[in-house]
Amino acid sequence: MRPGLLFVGLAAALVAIGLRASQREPATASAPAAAGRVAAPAIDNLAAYIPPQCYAKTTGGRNPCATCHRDSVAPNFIDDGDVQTELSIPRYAATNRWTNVMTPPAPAAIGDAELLSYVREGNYRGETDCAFAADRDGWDRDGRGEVTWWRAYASPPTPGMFWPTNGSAGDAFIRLPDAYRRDAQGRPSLAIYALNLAILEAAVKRTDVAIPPADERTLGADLDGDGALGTATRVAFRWPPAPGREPRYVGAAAALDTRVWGWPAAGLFPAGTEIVHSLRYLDVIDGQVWPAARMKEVRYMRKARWMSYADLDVAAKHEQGEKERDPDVLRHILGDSEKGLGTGGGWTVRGWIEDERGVLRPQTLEETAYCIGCHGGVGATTDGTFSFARKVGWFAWGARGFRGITEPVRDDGRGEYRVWLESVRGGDDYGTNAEVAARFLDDRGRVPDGLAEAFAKDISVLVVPTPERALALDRAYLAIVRAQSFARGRDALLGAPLIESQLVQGAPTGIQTALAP
Amino acid sequence: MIRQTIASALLATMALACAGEDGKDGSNGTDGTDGADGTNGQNGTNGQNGSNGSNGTDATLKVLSFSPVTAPVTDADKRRVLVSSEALVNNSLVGLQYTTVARSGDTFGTAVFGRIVDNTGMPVRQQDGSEFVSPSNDFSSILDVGNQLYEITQFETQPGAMYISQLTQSATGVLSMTSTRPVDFSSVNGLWNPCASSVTPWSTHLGSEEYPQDARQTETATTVAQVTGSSNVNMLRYFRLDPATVTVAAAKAAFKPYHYGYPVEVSVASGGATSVKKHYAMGRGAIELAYVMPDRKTVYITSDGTNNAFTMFIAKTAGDLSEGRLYAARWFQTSPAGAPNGSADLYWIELGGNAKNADVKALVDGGITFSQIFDTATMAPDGTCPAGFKGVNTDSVTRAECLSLKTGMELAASRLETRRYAAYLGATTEFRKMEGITYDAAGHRLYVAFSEVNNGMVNGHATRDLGGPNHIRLAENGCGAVYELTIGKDVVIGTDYVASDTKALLEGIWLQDPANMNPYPAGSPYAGKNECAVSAMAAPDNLSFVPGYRTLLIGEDAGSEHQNDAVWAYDLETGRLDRIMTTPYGAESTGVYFYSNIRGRAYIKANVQHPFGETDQTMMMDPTELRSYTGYIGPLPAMN
Repeated sequence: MRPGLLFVGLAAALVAIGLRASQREPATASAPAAAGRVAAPAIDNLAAYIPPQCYAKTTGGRNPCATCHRDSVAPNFIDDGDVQTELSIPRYAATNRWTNVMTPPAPAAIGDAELLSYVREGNYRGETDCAFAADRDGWDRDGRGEVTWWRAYASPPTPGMFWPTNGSAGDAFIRLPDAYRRDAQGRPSLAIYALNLAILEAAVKRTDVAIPPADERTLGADLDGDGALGTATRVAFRWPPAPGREPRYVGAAAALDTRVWGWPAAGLFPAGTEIVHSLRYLDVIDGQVWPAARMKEVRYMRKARWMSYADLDVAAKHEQGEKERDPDVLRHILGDSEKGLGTGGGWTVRGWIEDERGVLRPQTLEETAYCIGCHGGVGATTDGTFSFARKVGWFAWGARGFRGITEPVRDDGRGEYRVWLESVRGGDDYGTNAEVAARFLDDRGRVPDGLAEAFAKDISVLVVPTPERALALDRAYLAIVRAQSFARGRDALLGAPLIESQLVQGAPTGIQTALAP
Repeated sequence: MIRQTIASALLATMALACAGEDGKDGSNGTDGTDGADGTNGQNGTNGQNGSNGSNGTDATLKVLSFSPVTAPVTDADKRRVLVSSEALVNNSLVGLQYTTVARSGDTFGTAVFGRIVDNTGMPVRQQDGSEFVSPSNDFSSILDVGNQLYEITQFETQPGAMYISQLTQSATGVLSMTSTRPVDFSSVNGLWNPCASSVTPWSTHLGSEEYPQDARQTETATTVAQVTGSSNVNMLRYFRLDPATVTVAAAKAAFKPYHYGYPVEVSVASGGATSVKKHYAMGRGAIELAYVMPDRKTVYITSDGTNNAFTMFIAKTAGDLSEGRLYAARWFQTSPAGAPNGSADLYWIELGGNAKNADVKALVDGGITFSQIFDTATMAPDGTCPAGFKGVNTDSVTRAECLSLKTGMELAASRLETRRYAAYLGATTEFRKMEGITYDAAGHRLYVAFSEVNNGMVNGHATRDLGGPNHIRLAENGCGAVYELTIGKDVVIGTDYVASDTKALLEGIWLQDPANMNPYPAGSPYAGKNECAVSAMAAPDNLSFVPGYRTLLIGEDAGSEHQNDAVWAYDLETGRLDRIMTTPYGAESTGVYFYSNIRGRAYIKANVQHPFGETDQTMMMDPTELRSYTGYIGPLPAMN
């Protein structure tokens, strides 16, 4: 089929195909209650899934593209590293419609005191059932101190707009479905749940994961892969598994149908997994930058369906073939307000964002489509996600003032952030982060060794802005909130962005060689 | 109301269609002369009975009329398969529905409908052990062999698949699938990306292989992706090679581009055994469909994609496609350049000579490469070529090239590089997304569908006409068109089924035409989602003629042209165009094909690819889940 951008409006339940028709009325495939006569939603930018980063200038070889577009690791079969060197963009999207990014609006005219008062006001009203209140082990607890089964985890943020110095402080929580939280007798068990999260972590990060001593006999699982059922102090990662020795989740989850719910295959989350994260303003307390109480956004994704390696392979090859034959075809995005938009990889995404008064409201479908490009169509993701594969601990990073995380190391042994700074020749995709550029890059565009060592040990040295910059970023973003112009770009930018207003399909990007992961 | 009008028409026609009149009475005998009163004269003998009048001809009341489906406007309707609720077929009103026969992934015993197998018949697996199940079923044929109904379904994946399934038909005409198995293509190196197909007059399934890999790229490949084409690397799994670890040399040893891109015929024997043939003699390309004419010899072949040829194969022996001559059309436009409603005369240029499958296969098995067939040179930016080379512009991937045929390579070029060679000899290779074909035998008209009229089909396209002859010079129409071709005798070519000219029959209405922008207004339920007028067909793909009823069925393959793909019934007599089916968001209607009589019932086959999704009780629902459905509209009473 040939894609285009399709949206679905407010939902009724979907219908099965193949039931008998009624007379006279156009025969329908079944007869559910009809939805109201809702017109399809208006979409301004049919290429809303192609984010503004894709229009960043790459002249002279500056390369912000490699963060997302790269040769992938199965079961990601997108393999789009060649996008770094040769531009692939549908004709419609060659025109940049992210007007807020091309011409950042004037920051909100608001004094420090009023601004701080605004960002310190919490606006989360339980849009999801995560309380965003992690204890010291990362367990999210509600007002009565009960676990909500969400667990906070910390990851070094993907370079670019997810660094606090580029606008927002984030956090992330993950939750597995009910069966993973219960033992084999069906009783809720935090210990079993923690084990299942460790098994998941081993599969997604593709490493062994240390666990408290676990009795493999009771669990009925050889977690450490030593061929015997004894006491395990780690979940071993073995891939591909020997036939008949595929890893499994434990407790009640061990009885789930793997064809429907999945299993710990390398690089995949089980069906029903949920991930939520907030994007927050920046607060300044006693001269130090912290995540604010006020949320810019709540972003939620749920794995609605298990897709095997083969399912993902078929889907990726199909898309690739379509693009090769007709590069101008826009992507179909399917979904609705109730369940969210589909990423094409089995996940649905939804979000909430501030209205003009700062009250969180559901994102429009066009605003949500913005998530689909990165979470559903690039080579860099692990089962549609970025952060969990980069996890370094079960805690909320922002709660520790962004301290205590080391820089990720690339396959070639070099620091990920250092290489990124030198590739983009600045501190953000658009060259507007003059603070980072001035502090960390010399006049040959290199990061001096001393500074590199400093942020290699603690990334907060690099990624946290000065208090002045933090407040300036808040002001820049607030202007967009007041205008409710998120569909035109929601990045908080200070300075003139290096961005193209028009791209050329098939043109060389100016990047000579693709940067490998 | 349809009902009343037709009813009165019925009565009127009934009056004419009576039994034959009695013969006239004989003339009276002459009177007797007057006599005396006396005995009465004898009565005259009766005249001879007149001979019976001949019977009046039966009323040929062939009426086919569907209650139209209005284009869906509510969100709920846009998520459903909507089908005409009833049709008037001659004197009967028939209730209609869409019935699903099977979905990809359905299990029948140990078989999985749409599961891909390797050349030993074992399921192909990814590194996590998962099996490949194709979500893209395209055409299905229904065959009746040895007192058993079979359905052969094509799955459009790499490796490709066909499944042969047994069907039962209930007393009320409902078809059900009872078993299925994959068709074995190991004798022909596997099946490559099958698309549409047709049923031959001798009841075999005639399928296709679409978008074959460019052999020129394979020859110089330095990576595995370049050997097969990057979206096709999984074809290596057919040979039990893992694309992630195989060497370029091993890939090249197993995978030959010239093994793929042909019409593929599947015969079913009584008892269900299948045999397969790839018809190398019919030429290679991005075959959409091969359609056999009633003489069982003349075959029209369309290709999808950009800058394609339109070819015609004349089999040496009726009913046997393994040997014959091949021709490519040359479009001589008679309508003004740059205008819509095109018309053209068609000439046919012979490619190579008579060829046999075996001879072409021998070339392939001998390891022939592209560079043994053609020399190449670099084309200048203005589209000219060095002396001794000819400029051609074929395919969206290979584009404009300068070629020179090597000595003695006519046979190889004609069958293995059909499109390039057609252009080389001056045929037209500007056709764009040429897909469905169907024939009206009574009217001697062939119909073909162009899903889009753009690229090489416009006048002087900057890239697609570069270096080429710019034969086709139509106005751009993003919504496509259906063209009608006149079929008749050609004494030189030697069949009665040669297309001599063509003209537009139906065109989509392009609201996003830059020269004439006329989008739906804000607030319209169609705004922003339909580049083409909803009231007209757009992106036509499948075509199927309903013989005797002068009706052309048109299946759409629309993306941004129409938000919901539709199937239309076009009455060639009245020009009435009725929508008879719409498919959900993101779904494509495929395999639209009319069967006039399967054991007393008629069916309109229509498959739905990628329906939006099903009601689900557990909230485990992914709106992008791809599964395709094979099914039909009907049953209707037999209509032959």
